[in-house]
Amino acid sequence: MSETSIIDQQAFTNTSTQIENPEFKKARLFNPDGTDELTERKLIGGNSTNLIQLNNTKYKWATKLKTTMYANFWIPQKNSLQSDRFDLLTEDQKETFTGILSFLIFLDSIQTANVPNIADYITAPEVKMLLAIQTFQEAIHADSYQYIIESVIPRELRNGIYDRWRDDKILFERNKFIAGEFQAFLDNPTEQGFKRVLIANYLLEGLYFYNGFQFFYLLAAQGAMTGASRIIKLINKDELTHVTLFRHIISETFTEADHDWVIEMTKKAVDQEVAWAHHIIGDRILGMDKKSCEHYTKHLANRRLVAIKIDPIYEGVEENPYRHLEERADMHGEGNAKGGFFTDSASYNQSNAVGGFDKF
Amino acid sequence: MLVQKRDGSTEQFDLAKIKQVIGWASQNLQVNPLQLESKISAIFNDGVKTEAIQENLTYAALSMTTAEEPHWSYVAGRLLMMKHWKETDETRQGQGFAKFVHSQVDAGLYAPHIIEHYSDEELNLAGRLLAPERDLDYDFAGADKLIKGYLVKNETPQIAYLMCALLINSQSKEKSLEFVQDLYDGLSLRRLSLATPFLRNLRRPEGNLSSCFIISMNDDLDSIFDNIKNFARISKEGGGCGVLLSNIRASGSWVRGRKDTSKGVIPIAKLFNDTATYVDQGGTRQGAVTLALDVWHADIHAFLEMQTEVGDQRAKAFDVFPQVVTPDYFWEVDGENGDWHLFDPYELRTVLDIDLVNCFGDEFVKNYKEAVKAYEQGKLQIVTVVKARELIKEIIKLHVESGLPYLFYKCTVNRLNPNKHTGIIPCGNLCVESYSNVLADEEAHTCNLISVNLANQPDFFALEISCRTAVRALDYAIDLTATPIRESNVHNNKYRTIGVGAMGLNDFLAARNTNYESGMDLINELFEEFAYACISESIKISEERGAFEAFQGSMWDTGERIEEYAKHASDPSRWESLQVAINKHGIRNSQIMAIAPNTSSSIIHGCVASILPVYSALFYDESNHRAVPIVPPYLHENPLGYKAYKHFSKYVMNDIVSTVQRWVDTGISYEMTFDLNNDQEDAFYRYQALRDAWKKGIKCIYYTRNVDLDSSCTACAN
Repeated sequence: MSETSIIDQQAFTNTSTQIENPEFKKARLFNPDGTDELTERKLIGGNSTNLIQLNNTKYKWATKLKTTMYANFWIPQKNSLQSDRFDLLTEDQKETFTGILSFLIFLDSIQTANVPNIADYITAPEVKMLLAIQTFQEAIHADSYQYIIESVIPRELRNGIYDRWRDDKILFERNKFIAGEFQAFLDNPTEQGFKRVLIANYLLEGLYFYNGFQFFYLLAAQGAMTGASRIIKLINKDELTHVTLFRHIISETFTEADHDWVIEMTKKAVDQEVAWAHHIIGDRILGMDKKSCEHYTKHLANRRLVAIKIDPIYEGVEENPYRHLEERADMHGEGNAKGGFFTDSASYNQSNAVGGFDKF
Repeated sequence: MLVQKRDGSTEQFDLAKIKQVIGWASQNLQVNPLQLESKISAIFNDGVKTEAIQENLTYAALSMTTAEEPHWSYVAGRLLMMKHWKETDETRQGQGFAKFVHSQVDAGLYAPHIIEHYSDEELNLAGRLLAPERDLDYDFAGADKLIKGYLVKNETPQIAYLMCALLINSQSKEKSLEFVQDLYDGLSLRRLSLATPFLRNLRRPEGNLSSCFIISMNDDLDSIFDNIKNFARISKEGGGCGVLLSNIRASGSWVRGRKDTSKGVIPIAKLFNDTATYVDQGGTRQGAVTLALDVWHADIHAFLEMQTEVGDQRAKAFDVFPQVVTPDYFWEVDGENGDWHLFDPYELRTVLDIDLVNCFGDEFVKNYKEAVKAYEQGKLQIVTVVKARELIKEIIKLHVESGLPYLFYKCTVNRLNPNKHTGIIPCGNLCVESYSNVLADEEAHTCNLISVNLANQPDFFALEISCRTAVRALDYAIDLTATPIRESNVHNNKYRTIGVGAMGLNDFLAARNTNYESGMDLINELFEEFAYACISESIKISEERGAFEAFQGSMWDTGERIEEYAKHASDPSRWESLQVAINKHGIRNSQIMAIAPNTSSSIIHGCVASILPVYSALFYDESNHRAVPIVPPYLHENPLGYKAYKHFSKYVMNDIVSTVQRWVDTGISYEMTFDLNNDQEDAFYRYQALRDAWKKGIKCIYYTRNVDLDSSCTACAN
């Protein structure tokens, strides 16, 4: 029996959440019996040789996404943090600033280690490749937070930021929720566990970072920490490609039968994000408050759900309270952020962002 | 609930007071004050400070700014100005101006020149010109930038403008306040905009006024390090600097007779890089320098790779702005997809006695071909042969990655150089709009800038007054302060170069219900008037005070410069009579007009920068101080008049810029904006746009902006 018939697409997608497929397993690494035929190609449970042959891809979105991800290449050291003055922040802003960094650096560190675990099960080489790029970008992000911490935060506070995820109860709980899903799957690699990991990832990339990001944009809007904000903008740009990647993987593999538990997980993630935002931002920051954080998180959760074809679950949050901050971060190629050209290296791309070099 | 006032006392919270403030700030603007009131949030705890309330309101108004409701940014601007007024004294009303000036001088905030030149009586008389209500015409971005970046302690904007007008007028031979009135009105009605060093430094002790410098060095150690010092001094005074590196021997060249010893231009670039980061005006503004290298220089590849992320970090210089100098012949060779030769200037000098730096046009072609011949005969060792097109591809890749290097079309610039009789223009300044003859170690290009804000010119008559006032102010300014380096003084006396710029062209068109495409004739007419007024005034000053030193034999003197204008003029006879006047009186300034980017000053003026289309109908300015929404002034009246730059064909842009360039005797900071999301605008398109620019007689390409790829939606098509 060939491997392709073991889990055929139909059977896979019809698997209800309760019944585990006993054949769900990692993709083979060296697989001379595998096939590169597009008709046989599957995202998960396929029989790939792992050969990356980009002129022969089934998932066309992957090729386009690859170009964007390449074009986004950057290193944090190219952005100057010379004018970022931690000492000029208010005490409350300092507290929020360091707290958010603790959270972000933990998440991106975990992601660097975790994304390859997902890639292990992917049997479409063009998608596996994107996960490899993502892994690399997560490492750049963890490096970036460290670069910000080491450049702008006084020495005596630095270790506290790295260690805070253990000591802060709310932070610990929410890290446990997401990382716990990842760990549970590693301990017991079931298909359902894998799908939970996909959602956990999607929520992490699409929901968890964002109150934190907005805080950086807010500071920049008030003239503070503009260098760090530029780096955050670059990270945000990458994260959006990761959201897109997982959105596609989820759309290819999920069915309506999955919606209920996805909604449950989303609600829990929203509750934790809101609790965290109330804890770390609260009502102490000019330009953000508890109410708007909660509103924004729910608004964002609806957006993420709609993207994977699930109806919105929160009402009365159509308006985005941080639209003015998001607009200035210009994540959607609209060209509505214009950098001062003596100061900004953030809005630049690798040269593969345009084609046509072979035409002349 | 209690609130704490500025002086520390407390009073009962009074919502009516806040409503009153909001009403005042919203007066005559297209906004609904209730909307702002609804934002008054939980921030008002017991004991809240009045400043916090004010700040909260300002910020709330700012966050409400949209393309549909742009006036909120003016509400925020007024609220900010109100706060600033509270922090300054009552002098803004015009009372006791002399007393105020004295106290500023005593406190060391103003240079004493002002009270040495004007009596108290004269100062108090001038004080009556103050029109404080004009302080309220700023949007938030403008008010913020002005207050934070330009005003001296205790000043309001109007006081700053009046002070500038008085100081510039101190060079006038007559004591009358007529010119002060013209200049003050021009500045305060925002028809004229002083360049940054001008507006920032003029009133302060030891301030430099010049914006633009170009220095050049010879191929020896003394010259190299002397010029690093020169650059440091220029940076200290806030000037932007261009530096020509092309004379420097290439990597692998000889030092003291030993081959493979020279390290080439990159280590020098790094020295300038580090000097720029070190000399940063007390942390406020990093030194800014464009390093220029000719495209035939053997180090051109290393030079182009100077800012990429990959490769040896020791060969990187991230904080400079590279500029590539290209002769016509380079583009001609590329037209045939031909080979291009890279040479070591030291070897050319010593072996062949050829200098490729100080020539252009036919003379360059002759020298270059001679060098190629010598190479083919085996006489030269340090030569690389590449396809011209491969170099252009490298440049385009860098444009996508970092928006640099600038391109300088050397032959176009020099063909129209009025001072061909005394030298050559080797490269452009930091914003590639202002340049003149430069001689290594002897003469440094030096220039002051004022821009005419076209958005606020009611008619051509007002435009003429603005242009004339600008020329006169700039010419006076040359004599007003000492320059940071000796080479500048020599140059100033010899050429007296000034740069009258223009900004708000997009607004000028939008206000007249037209646009770039259908307004081409109007643009042409506008800039003919602009040039005519500027040149006329320079002749008039020459009549009063004499021509620039090198006038004799210049294109102004021979009549060639005016001939060039007459070719395109609506009424050539008008220009011919200008030549008659020049023959009689000479002309005061060898270069007169230069269109600067005006990135900061256009924000203060609330107009679209330079002569280019708006970046986007609403965008967020991200320069160092703040990220704030920017909305063009006539957006509410004519939303269709503001098509975003990225939607323009670059061929059309080249047409617009070359039309304006006909009338502008120096250069234009021509920024190109490409949209990475538009598949049409690929590398080949960029290549064609650069060639098209060269063919149309554009002098330089400044900075290339790229509208980012859409990160979230790339795969939506699926």
